[in-house]
Amino acid sequence: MSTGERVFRWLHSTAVISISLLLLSGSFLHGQTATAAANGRPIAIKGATVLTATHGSIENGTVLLENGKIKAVGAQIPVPANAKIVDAKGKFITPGLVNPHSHTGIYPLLGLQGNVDLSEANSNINSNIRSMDAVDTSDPEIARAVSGGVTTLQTLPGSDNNIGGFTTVIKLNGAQSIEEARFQGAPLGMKWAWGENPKVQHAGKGTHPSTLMGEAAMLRQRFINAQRYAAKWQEWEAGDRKSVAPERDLEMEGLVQVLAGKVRVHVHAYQMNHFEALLRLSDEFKFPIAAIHHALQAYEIAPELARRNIGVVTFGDYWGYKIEAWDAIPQNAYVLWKSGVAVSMHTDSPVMEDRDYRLQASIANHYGMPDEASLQTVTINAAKILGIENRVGSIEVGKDADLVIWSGNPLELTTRAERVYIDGKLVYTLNDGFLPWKGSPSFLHP
Amino acid sequence: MIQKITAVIGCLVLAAALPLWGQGPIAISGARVLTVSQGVIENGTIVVEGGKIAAVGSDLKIPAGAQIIDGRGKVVIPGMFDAGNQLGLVEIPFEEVTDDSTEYTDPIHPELRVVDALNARSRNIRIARPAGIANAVVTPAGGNLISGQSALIQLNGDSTAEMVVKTPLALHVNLGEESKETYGNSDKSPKTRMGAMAMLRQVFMKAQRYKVMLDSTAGNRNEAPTRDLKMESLVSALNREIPVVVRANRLGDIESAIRLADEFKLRLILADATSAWRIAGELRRRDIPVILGPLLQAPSRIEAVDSRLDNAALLHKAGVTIAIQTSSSNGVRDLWFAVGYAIANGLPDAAALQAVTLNPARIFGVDDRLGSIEVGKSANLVILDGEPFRVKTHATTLLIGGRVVDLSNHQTELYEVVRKKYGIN
Repeated sequence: MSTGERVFRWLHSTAVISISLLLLSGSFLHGQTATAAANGRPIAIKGATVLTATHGSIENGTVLLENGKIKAVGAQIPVPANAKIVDAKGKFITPGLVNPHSHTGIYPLLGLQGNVDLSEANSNINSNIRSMDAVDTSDPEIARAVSGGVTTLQTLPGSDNNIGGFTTVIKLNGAQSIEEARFQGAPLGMKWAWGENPKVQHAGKGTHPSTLMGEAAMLRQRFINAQRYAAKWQEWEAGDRKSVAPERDLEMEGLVQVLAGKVRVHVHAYQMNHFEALLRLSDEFKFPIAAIHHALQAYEIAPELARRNIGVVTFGDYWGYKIEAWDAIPQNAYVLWKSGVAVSMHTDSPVMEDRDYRLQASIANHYGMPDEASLQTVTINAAKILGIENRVGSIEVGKDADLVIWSGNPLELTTRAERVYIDGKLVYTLNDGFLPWKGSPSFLHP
Repeated sequence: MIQKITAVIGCLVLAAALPLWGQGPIAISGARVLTVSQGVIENGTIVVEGGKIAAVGSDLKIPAGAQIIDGRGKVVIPGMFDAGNQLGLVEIPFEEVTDDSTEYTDPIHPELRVVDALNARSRNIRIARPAGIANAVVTPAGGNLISGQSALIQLNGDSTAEMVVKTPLALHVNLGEESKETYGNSDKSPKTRMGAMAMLRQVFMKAQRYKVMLDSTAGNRNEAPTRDLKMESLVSALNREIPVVVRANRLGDIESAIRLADEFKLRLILADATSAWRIAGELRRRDIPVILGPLLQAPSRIEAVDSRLDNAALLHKAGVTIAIQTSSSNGVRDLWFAVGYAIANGLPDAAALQAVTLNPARIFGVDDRLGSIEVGKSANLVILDGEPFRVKTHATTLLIGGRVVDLSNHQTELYEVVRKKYGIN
């Protein structure tokens, strides 16, 4: 077993066990949501304007859901006789929204101290920690997010540290077990942060790093250490393996995964000098960066990001709250899109609420981004940035049946989500709220 | 003392009037005019003269020599109000040295005046303007039981004197968790809501006595009490010269605000008020206005667990006068999106427009000169390229006090550079 495999096993240990058990029991799909959808009748949603996010819009279209997947979509498609018909005349349908940057689950709504597991702020390099170990699947924001049309989100450790830890992608299906809520098969992601937050956090404690120079030096040193760590293991594995194996180090194993290109690196960074430092690191140690998050000045470097296939996760318009946000412009997403960068919105919940995620696309639209491109910033582009675009982010045959029925054009401010489906199952209606938790006594549910 | 105040006010008025000298009339013609107070005028014309609205109607003669703004296909609304924010008090929220919004030194700070910290050159003011915001109620931030006195500003002017429309505007009281956090955590009072209310009642009682001493020695300088700025501020609230804005979220805190106002006969305005919908009928019966917001923020305290998206709609339905605030400095222009969201959640369009124009003007007693498109009112006007609070609608022109104001700012200037760099037209 190589170091890489070992780390993968470690990261997925619980998932691996649960999947094998299910395979033994003969049902790969499990959890309330998937089971109900698999056993239920097909659903045909008819009469709406279907915004596919990847193939334009279909007037008076039908979307057919079966076994938790999108079975067919079009203006004239055959509907099975046993299908349940949902009349959506005058409504709009979009894919379920995908939010690639949230703290929901590890910073549960209200931020009560005992509930907050945002940031392991005492050490700067946390390539050994996983948000999966902390996600509170009862976070009320999950229900509220769904009420705003969000069906998938990535929850990341906070930005106090240059390396915050591994991220978790979840489906907002209301499952109580993280194994059922986790987006099975989503690639590994790791949260990094650059700039003010790490240096302010650590300077406040009198610890290293307290400058941008310190941040870069620390990361470079750790990667050099990780290269050595990997070499030591390779040497041992190539030998007769009779000597005692080298010591395992979780922090190093996380970095080795990055060096091996097996981790989608999501970096919180704002300014040009942050981006350039990150590109230098990426070039020196030959690992890819999946996306730069927040990235308020990314418009300055748009063609370079496009060339390197680095995505951007940003706000519709969030300006001036700190020095590194001083050169924000509301056309950031538009300029990036024009340059060919996969650009997504985010909420950074609780900074903005997941529930109001859709509004970020509206704001981009307000500042000049075309309609379909705006919709893509909360759907397919977010899915691409997370590496799950083969499953979610657009209304296409074979994709997960994650859909939102809106009262009107979803980009319009005055529109509301009325019905939400996840894996083919109805999970939200405007009248009844979040159905998986219906009747459970909790506060703050929509 | 009175002479001194008159002199100061005189200076303010003079300063504000200066830039208008020599400016000719302006006419906006052919627009759809949402007057707010007198319905909608299709194909309407507005004539602006001497900083005021000189005429408005569908069939008006445009004065000779007027500068004409073609309003065909456009919609005109009154300049909007943000009914509570920290414009000019906080420049960069994360940089403490740029924050003059509150003084965490004593929970009772009625003497603090926003006007003494306002920065007319704040970049946030220019950032807010393209959203059609002409006026703002600039308030001290929370954290103290009594945080000080607000000012009403217009988002135009080279100096504080030019910007200020009315000061002091209101006294600001904060109930609930924030003051407890500020002081209780360092073992000072208030540590509980009980302590908070006891302290507030005590200081208002002290002010009542100060007022008796003032009233009984009126005209007799030698016997008047030693001047005390804290007491003077509270006395103006007791005299109902200024209203008292109480930030309260939990229902119990709203009830405490009402008890306090009843006991001391204060002119109560509620702010934040996430659970106001629970007590809407009572607020209507007592005619207590409510300033809602920020609307686009997840509740971050237990006191706000009753928050719901249709709070504005429910209060409006019950007949309560509502206004909307952003409580922000750098995000004030997001008022537009917040109002759109309130509409999405049941607030009728006309009521939404009123909540950011005439209602705040009425609540703060300036509806004689602001808040609607009526002859004689200050010409604060927004020309829109579509219906208000829709995603594709933008303000194309903003007039404040009859002057077309510059809508450029740090962001538009940056974008100009970027456009040229990438050849975006």
